[in-house]
This record gives sequence, C-alpha cells and structure tokens, in this order.
Amino acid sequence: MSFSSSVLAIEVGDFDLNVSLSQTYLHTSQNEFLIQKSDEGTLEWTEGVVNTIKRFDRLQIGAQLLVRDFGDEGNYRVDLDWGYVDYALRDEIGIRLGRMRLPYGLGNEFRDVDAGRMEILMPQVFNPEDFRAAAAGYQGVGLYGTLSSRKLGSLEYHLFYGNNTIHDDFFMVRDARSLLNSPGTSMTTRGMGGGQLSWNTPFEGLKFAYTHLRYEGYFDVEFTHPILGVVRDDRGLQLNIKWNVLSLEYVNEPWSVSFEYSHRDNDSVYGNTLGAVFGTRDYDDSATVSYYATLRRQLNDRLGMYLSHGEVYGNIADDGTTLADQLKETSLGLRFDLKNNVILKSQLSQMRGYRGVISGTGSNWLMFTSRMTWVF
Amino acid sequence: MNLGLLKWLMPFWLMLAMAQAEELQLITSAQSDFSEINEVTLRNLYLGREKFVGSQPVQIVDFNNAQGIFLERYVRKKKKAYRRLWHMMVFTGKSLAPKEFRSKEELYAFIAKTKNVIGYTIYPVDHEGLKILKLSQ
Repeated sequence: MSFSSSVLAIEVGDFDLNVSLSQTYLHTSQNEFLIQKSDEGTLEWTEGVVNTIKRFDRLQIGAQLLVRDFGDEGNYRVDLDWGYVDYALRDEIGIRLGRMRLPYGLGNEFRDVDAGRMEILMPQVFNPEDFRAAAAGYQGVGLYGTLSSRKLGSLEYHLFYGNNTIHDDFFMVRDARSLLNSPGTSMTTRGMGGGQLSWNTPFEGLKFAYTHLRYEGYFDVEFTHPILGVVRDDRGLQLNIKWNVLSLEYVNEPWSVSFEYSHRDNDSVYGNTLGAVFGTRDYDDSATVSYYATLRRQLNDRLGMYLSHGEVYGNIADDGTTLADQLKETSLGLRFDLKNNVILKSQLSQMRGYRGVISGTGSNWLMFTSRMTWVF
Repeated sequence: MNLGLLKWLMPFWLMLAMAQAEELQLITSAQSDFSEINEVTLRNLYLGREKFVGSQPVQIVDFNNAQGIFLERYVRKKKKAYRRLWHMMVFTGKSLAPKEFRSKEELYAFIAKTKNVIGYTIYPVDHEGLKILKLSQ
C-alpha cells in the first residue's frame, strides 16, 4: 500500500481507495434525541466508508461500502452505500444503473461526506439524521447530464426511478414495533422516483435547484388487538408521500449562504383490515413544511464557522391550519482542519420542539455535537 | 554598458524572467483529438460538472507546483475549497478525482502517453509527446 499521487486517495495496486472515518459525540441537555442516552452524552455514532471508482473512456464503475453505528441502527453492519455502472454518451446525457445517491435538495447526496462541508449535522429540520437509512440512496436507474452555455451558465439534471431497502432497525420500523408491540411489523419501499434540476447561473457562485421526489411504500403490520387477538394486515399502512424542494446557494469565498424550502404532501392510508379495525382508511392526509438558512465563513485556511436556523411545521391540514410546530433549530459551529486529512468540528444548537426526540418532555433544550474525521 | 544602468534594469529583467517561468500553459498529449478548449468547459471539467471536450471523454490532472495559480485563474477556487469539492465528488461516486503530480517529469510523461488528458504547467513544454492546448473564450 502506498499513498498515491492523486489528490485524495490511497493507492492499492491498480485501485485508488478513498477512505473516510468519523467519530461523533452527541450530548443533549434534556431529551434523548436521535440516539438513546444522548442526554448523558454518547459516542454511539461511528461511520466509515471506503470506495473506489474506475473509469474506462465513457464507462465508469464504482462502489462504496459503509459501516455505521448510529445508536440502535447499523451496529457496524457493512452495507453497499453506492455501487453503479455509468455510461456517459456526452456531457448532456448519461445513464447509471445500480445503487446511487438520492438527489434531494443541496445536501442529501453529500450527507455523509463530512470532509466536504463545514457543518457536522445538516439541519435536522430539513435532512433529519434518523431518516438517513431511507433517504440516502436509491436502487434503480438514473439519467443525468449537464447542459452548458457561456451566457446562461450550466443546467444539471438527474432523473431517477427505483426503490430502496429498509432494514428492520430503521427508526420508523422500530417505533411501529414498539408502539404496536409487534415484532412482525416491517417496512418496504414499493417505488421512488423524481428528479432534480440545478442551475449554476452565469452570476458567479449563484445556484438554484428544484427537486421533486415521490415515495410509495408500505408497512406489513401485525399486532395484538384486545378483542380480535392477533391482527395481521399485509400493506396495513400504505405511504404515499411527495416532496417539492427549492434550493438556493451563493458562494463568494470566503462566504457562502444556503437557503432551502421543502413542502411535503402526505397521503397515507390504512389497509383493509386495519381500516376496518380503526373505522377509517385515513392515516395521514396533511402537509409538512420546512426551511432553513445557513451562513458560512471561512476565517482562515484552517478554521471556518457557520450559523444556521431552520424550522419544520407538521400536520398542516388542507385548510392551511398549522397544528404543530415540530422543531426549531438554531446552530453555531466550527470546523478546524487540523491537518489535510484530519478534521475537527463542534456544533452547539438550541432546539425547540420534539421532532427526532426519542424520549423526554423538554420543549426548549440544547444539543452539543463534536466530530473527528479522518479522510484519505 | 554603464553599470548604473545595468543595476537599474536588473529588477525588470528579474521580473521578466519570473513572469516567463510562471507562464501558465494548458497541455495535452500530442495524440489528443483536440487542440483547443474554451474557458467555460475547462472550468466545468475542474469543477466536476463536465467530463467531455466536444464528443471526447477527457481526464484532468493537477500539477502541485502550479495548482494555486491555475485554480485562481481558471477555476476561481482556493485550494481548500477545491479539495472539499472533490471530496464531495469522490465520496458520492459522481466522479474520479484528478491525479495530482508533484514533478514536471512525471506530469509530462503521464500526459504524453495518455490520450485526451488535460493538464497545466508553468515550465517550458519541452517534451515531444505534448502539445500546448489553446484556450478560446
């Protein structure tokens, strides 16, 4: 093994391996948030990835393995994070088959690339970390390309369709099992599709993006009813969710600013059996709105800082009535590049609300996170 | 020649010599299918947004000794920001990071033997397997 002349990789034979390892410390002042016992301080958040990419003329292949321990999720299971075959006919059109990153707003594709951004956590009102397992990627087909013009800038598109694998340790499955006392409950993605358009405008550093995402999935539900006994309903809860996301980013080094707005339409229903038990097919016919703004400043070659504020409102009824503000988050953080390949980050957040809270009743609380990342 | 005049001209000669030594030039293999590239495409290649020149897939490389000047002039990014950008490209599988060379000899040898590779240099292009890439607006 030797260090390659490449910017980032470790060279092993004919392969350039890119490696990133990170360890995060999470401490909340009151509630357990994202990870059990976060109110006592926890180190149960470790991630490691290794990837390699090969290019042969118009053909590119690549794969990344992910090992992750995130509280009760992952437990160091080795997952294929992405792995694809890509054929690019020209810059304007290319096709990818396999498992790819899901384009959703500015940050979702890069959510695990700690070395690539200033923040530790992306805004939890917008890219909640407990959704990572369902939101990080898709298996299927993607069409992508870049249309460039000297006068109009460049327009990048990515259209996709596929599904994803939801493991039983995903928080929604764990919650459903706990709520219904039913170890037989599981979640399946039937399909997800959509697209993203990103416009790098001719005005230097200014970028706009629009994302549309549609998700269809279901829970196979099994639970014990006090009168009916064990009730099993395959596809007992059917999820049909649409997202529309608007994004803006302006980079004028050493400053950068991002703003994103998301509108989520929920149209989820119970299956026939559960519908009969509960007396209604309606489970969730509401909307969720979230937005955030982040301002970043690179203070010198090694040190950067950021300030972010975001809010998410849920259960918005058809008449527009807001029934619940789920979370408001204001964060201040630092990134320090100790060496070229060692990064230290710390973030302090004031949180108001309960989105992502596992247990606890504090409505106004603090979250401190700190992370060390090694990258090669 | 008057020594006083020589003394007076010396700084200008030095500046001229430094300017010549640091003249940034785009280079490619003599076998490459193209001899010209426009500035928008060049920038997009180094930002990972494009991978082709015309209809030809290309590979880009970095040269450590000239990277700062090149990034500032054509990519309009500082080294740190450029490195972060390529971290994002590599760890999402979007693109392969450019190889980075530390010696002129290795850089020239690699580009000369590899068709459709684009690089840059601040040294004289004295390798017969290379050609200077013309930049169009």
